Amino acid sequence: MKKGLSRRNLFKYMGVGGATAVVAGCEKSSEKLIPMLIPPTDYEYTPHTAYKYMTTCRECDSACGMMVTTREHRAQKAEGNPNHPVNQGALCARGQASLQTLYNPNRHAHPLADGKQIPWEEGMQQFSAIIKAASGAIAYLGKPASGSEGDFVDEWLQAAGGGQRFKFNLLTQKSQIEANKIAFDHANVPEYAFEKAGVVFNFSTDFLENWGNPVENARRFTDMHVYKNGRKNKFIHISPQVSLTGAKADRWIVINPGTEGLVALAIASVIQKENGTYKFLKKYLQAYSPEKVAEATGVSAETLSELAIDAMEHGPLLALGGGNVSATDQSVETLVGVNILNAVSGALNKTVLFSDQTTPESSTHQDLTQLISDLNAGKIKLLIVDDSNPVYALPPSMGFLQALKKTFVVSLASQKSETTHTANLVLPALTAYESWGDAFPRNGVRSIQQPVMSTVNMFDARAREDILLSVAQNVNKKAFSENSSYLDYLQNIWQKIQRKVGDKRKFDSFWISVLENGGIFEKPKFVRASLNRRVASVKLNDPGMASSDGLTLFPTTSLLLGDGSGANKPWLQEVPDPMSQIVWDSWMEINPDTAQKLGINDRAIVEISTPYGSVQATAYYHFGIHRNAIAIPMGQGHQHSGDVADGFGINVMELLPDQMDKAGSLVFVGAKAKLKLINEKSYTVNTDGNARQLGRDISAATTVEELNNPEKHSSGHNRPVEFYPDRSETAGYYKPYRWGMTIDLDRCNGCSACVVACYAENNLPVVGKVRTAIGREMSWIRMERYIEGYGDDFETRFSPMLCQHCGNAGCETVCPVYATYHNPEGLNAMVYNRCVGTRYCSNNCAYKVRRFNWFNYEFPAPLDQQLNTTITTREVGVMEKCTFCVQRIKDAKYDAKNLGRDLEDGEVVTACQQTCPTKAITFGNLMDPESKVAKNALRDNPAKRDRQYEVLAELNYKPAVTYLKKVNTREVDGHDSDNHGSHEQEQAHS
Amino acid sequence: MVLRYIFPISLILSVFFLALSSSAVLAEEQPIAFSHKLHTVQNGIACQYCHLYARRSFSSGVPPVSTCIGCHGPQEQKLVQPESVEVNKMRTFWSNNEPIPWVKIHDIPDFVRFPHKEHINADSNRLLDDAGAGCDSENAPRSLECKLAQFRTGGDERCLACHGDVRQMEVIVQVDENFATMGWCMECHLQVKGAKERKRSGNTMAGWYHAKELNKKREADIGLVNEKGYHNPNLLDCYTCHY
Repeated sequence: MKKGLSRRNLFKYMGVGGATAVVAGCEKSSEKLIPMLIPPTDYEYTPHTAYKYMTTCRECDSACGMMVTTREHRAQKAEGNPNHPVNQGALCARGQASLQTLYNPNRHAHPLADGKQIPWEEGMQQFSAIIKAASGAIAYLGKPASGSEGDFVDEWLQAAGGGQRFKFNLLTQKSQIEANKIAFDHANVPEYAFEKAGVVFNFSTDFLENWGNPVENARRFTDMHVYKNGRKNKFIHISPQVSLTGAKADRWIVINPGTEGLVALAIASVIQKENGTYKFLKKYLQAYSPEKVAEATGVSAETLSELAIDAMEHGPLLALGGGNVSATDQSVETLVGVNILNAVSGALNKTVLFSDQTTPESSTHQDLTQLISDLNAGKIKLLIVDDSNPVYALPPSMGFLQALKKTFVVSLASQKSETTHTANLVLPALTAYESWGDAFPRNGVRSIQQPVMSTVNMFDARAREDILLSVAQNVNKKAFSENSSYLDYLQNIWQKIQRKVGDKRKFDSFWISVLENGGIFEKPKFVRASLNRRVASVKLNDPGMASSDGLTLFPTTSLLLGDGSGANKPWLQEVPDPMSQIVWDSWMEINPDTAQKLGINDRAIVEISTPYGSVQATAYYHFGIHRNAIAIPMGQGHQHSGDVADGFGINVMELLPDQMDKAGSLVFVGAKAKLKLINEKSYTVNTDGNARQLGRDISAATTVEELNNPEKHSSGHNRPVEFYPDRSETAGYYKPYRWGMTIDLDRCNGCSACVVACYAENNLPVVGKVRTAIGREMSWIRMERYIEGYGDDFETRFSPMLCQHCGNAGCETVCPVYATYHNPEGLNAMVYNRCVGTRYCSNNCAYKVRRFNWFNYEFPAPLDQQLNTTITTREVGVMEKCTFCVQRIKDAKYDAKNLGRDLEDGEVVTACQQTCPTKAITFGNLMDPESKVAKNALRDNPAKRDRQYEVLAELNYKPAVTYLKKVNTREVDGHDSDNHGSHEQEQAHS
Repeated sequence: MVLRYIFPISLILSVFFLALSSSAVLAEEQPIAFSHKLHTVQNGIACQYCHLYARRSFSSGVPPVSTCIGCHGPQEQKLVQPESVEVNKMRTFWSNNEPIPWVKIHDIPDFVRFPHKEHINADSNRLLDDAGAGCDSENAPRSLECKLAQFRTGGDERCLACHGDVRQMEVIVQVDENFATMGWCMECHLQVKGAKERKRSGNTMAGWYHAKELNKKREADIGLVNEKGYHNPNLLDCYTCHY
């Protein structure tokens, strides 16, 4: 034999050696079965079963009722509480993302002293020591409390030797409350009975996004606005800027920035002249007649009179005022003007309903300015902060960050934020979903907040109130002597409530019924309000913002990020903002005409400077903004809020002055900006391919006139004639269920709650900005946004797009391994384990709703505890898409089978359907003629027939999702859509 | 010279390892040597006394440690078998508040959703009338007929249909080589009333153009509707288990 290794032998040994190594490593690693130690005995516990607990959502101030589904003692999905009168079972996008507040990897995990981890005992000792030393000079800077925690902290401050509680929230309704006090002697926010109104004038509020209670507003507004009985009520948006709320309007009246009050008074003057009521206002209103304010507002006198006549003929009116866009230094006067309009038109006590309730608390800007100067003067020795984030939210020109350095800061927050970053002592607090509390958002509503699971095991945190309680007992022996815990304190309060509502049971039974119901809900008691004569002395001036020295800057609230608290939640960053379709970024809305004049292209990077700061952001061409203004959404530009928030976008608050209005609120619209082009190209990611439908009729609309025209009836579902027999003719198919869905585009307002709900229910991964840029986002339902028309007369249309579960699917026929097929109940089934990843199905899908797992996406702990255990979590290499929540269908079917019957209508609710505040989505069995979905989708319902259509029906895919056309009150011409020059939305450059 | 034999020897060795690794012999050991034979045969405890979630839940769960303590007693008060090494291991877990990490022997992949409860509570009438006849329990105890007969019997006998004769096991093993492969599950699923007809009736790719009738009688023929008038889960639909 030759010396050494021959080539042939080398290959032999390599092959066998390699095979052995592989095979030897191939042992099946076993899973473990972990038993309980002691199963729960106070109820019959079964594993893998959903237990639902009622609590309250605390993502914003609305305090909607929430029902959290837990399995194996882990919260997995949040829904609205169906019993709660405010949200009635629906939940907005931020509420759906509340589980990412609970499971956020960027929560404080351990007590920290100056950044170093310390044990709890030491932390508590330090806290007690500093309280003793700071006695009398304590400031508690927390969120406004709508429940018992406010009183608790006040008592605590007293026990701790004295101090002051500040209730900070960037977005408040303080100006509105002040205006209501002046006009109606009611220092609180009324209920807005949208459903009773015939016309709604919206003076720049974002009532479907962040103003008031958006879930309730959406529901009530939709009840008023949908096409019913052959007609539609009107919604007119009077504002310099069109946000998601304005997109729903029948007409947009462009007004000069800051002139909402003048317009309201002009309309009121016409109405007052016409019906002669409120004689004391006659002279006052003459100064604000349409002719006199036409120049200042930029609205012609004819239009103003038209609006007034509309309000009178189609009333009752509901005029809404408030929000950021009208928050100039005259915001109180503006809102008094809107109040006058409501009174003069007769809306007061009809659609604007006051009740006797405590004023919602919030600290004024004045209070905060005083706090800052006290801090600077060394008068405050201890500042306690919670989850509100004033370091981020307040304009830096106020100097809050510098003032903080002069005192000892203790953070009792759950999430990492810019404010807790400055804290000397960090004591991690629990989130609202793991602790006790309550909320009294308005008259008649007492909502309970209970822990839906024991604390998330990764974080060594305690309930904020319990921390305060035990520290108080360290400092002052007599403090809270009857209360062993905050729960105890809370139950004492609820005992008083029990007596007040006249419930005669033992407290334990009452308490259980409160927890099961989510609270105590009574019908609100309204009181008559009347206009006070002092309004006639409120002067409103022309703010002069339309002049050309700079563009008025509107810092708008963000639908998904709110005032910034949503930025550390991956879902809220990944889901596109419905109006701009931009993800993981900020942008600046600018009118195309203005941009062209300044030489700024769409998606160019621009530097925006005001006298108070400057930032760089991407320009977004938006028809819906005044030509002398720009709008930048809040919420991004974080630096210390976690890896999902930091480094994305910019913080618009850096551009604002330290200015307040007569109610003591921060003036949001107080700066004029200058723009400078920095770069023609930007790396801003948007998920829409084209903002125009180009005649494809994806989001179709019709008009009231067309629907009422007897000659213009639709001939049928817009499908070609069928050649092959339909599957419903075979014995095995569609018995007894054929699942179908309808989406009513007249109800949908684009809020994207359905999108976030789907992420939560189906274990969808978040892929991040880089991968979204190449189209790899994993949303199974997406909110498509199309623009019709140009200039001031543009229309925005929304269309939720999900797997259509086609009867004649393009994806099913091309799968080489039969991983996707048409299931006998009408679903397009996706079998993950058969999929080999050819991606041919996605190629063939005309709706582009199929999502491929390009990687094994991570769910960094503890986000993996949120994963729904009733569904498979997909790995790399398989295709996935909307399943019509098949796991819910199966669970319901098993339950019905165990009861010995078939499913009834309404028992299966998909995640998107359940959370929709306007109930735009219906789902159910098309084979059941009595079901809601059949009534919407089938041809034999004359009320819906002319509005039914399928997307891209001409391809003959036979979708199971039927859309109902949006009903407009007038035509918007968007059909000559090709090459309209500078108005075209260009593709994002990378 | 030795070099010559390296190739065949490695080949044999690798096949040996392959066989070993996929067989039950090399399977991990349980943390406690719990004998089902001892507890069920000698002490007469029913399956569902300990495995109480089997008929109540989608997932079968595993008995809580408190069930063991119920008879054996904790460290402080040892009742049954105070001196046994294995039982004391369990008592140690209990006193440390640690759950016992049992090795899962009967495992199905995560992409299969198997409802334990539905199987324990299933109606035997759904099976074909002659399913289970001809079971030769001595020579072929794990034949399809014997499994069906055991399933038909119901109660704790039904557990043995899939898990094998657990009563005779000192250590739990998987009796069927192809346990939890789809073929193993489908063997029984195809023995329900109407399955054969439904295969030709349109639920599978093969024959959807065959049957054209729609009425309820026909539905019953293909096993969709049961005698009580409501619908059975469609066992020939992929989506019943893979979602």
